[in-house]
Amino acid sequence: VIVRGTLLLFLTYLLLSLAGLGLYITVGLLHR
Amino acid sequence: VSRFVRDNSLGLFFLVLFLAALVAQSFAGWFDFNEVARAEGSNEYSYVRYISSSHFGQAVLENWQSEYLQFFLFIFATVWLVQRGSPESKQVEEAGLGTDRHHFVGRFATRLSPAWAKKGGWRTRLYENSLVLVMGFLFLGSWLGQSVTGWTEYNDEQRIQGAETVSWLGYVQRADFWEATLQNWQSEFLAVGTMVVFSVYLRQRGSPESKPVGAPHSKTEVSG
Repeated sequence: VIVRGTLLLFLTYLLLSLAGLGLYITVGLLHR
Repeated sequence: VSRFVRDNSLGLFFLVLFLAALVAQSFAGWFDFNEVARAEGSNEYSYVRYISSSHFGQAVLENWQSEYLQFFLFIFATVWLVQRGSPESKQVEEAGLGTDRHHFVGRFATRLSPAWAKKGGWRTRLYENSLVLVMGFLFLGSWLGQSVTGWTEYNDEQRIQGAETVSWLGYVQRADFWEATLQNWQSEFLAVGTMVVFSVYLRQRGSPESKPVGAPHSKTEVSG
């Protein structure tokens, strides 16, 4: 059975990737 | 070692490597950026200004997009395409989406199957493609991010040189964007192709990416 820690690791990866995209799409659009 | 660390060592190892490499990249990029700025007589950036710059954003995202593209394509292509002898491939005669029974979907779901695998309908359709969909979304998102940060960078250069700036649509048709894109794609495609074909003949004892050391070269879809 997958424990809660593994789900946390999954969410860490997912949120890191989404935060990266979101941050730099915003940066690219704002600093133009 | 706690049970959490032991159970998740692979995911944690790459997370730590990723963060360390990203921080190291940010410092190297910052030093390089300021070196160029000094030489050109333009403004130097603070560290915080640098990591929130398009220069750093583009450097990060042009590599991300190609990695996510790699996995998106690899997951999708391996549904239908096979490589005889490779542990990365299914058996040649199993190409395609497979049966519900094989995938424990709908009425073939087991007690421990994820809820959306049991449900049927659009939820199961969505869940059975969720890996490729998320990889595809991250690919398109980071490629879009590369394009807008690259666009900003490009126009900054144009301004410094007193040349015309371009629209986003103009930028994505320029060689600058495609060179940054394709130099990352080519390396991913080479790496994936190499892995698929090398694993037919070469082995790593103990790795699930490899066939067992003594498995015949002709044996497909078994890991060691």
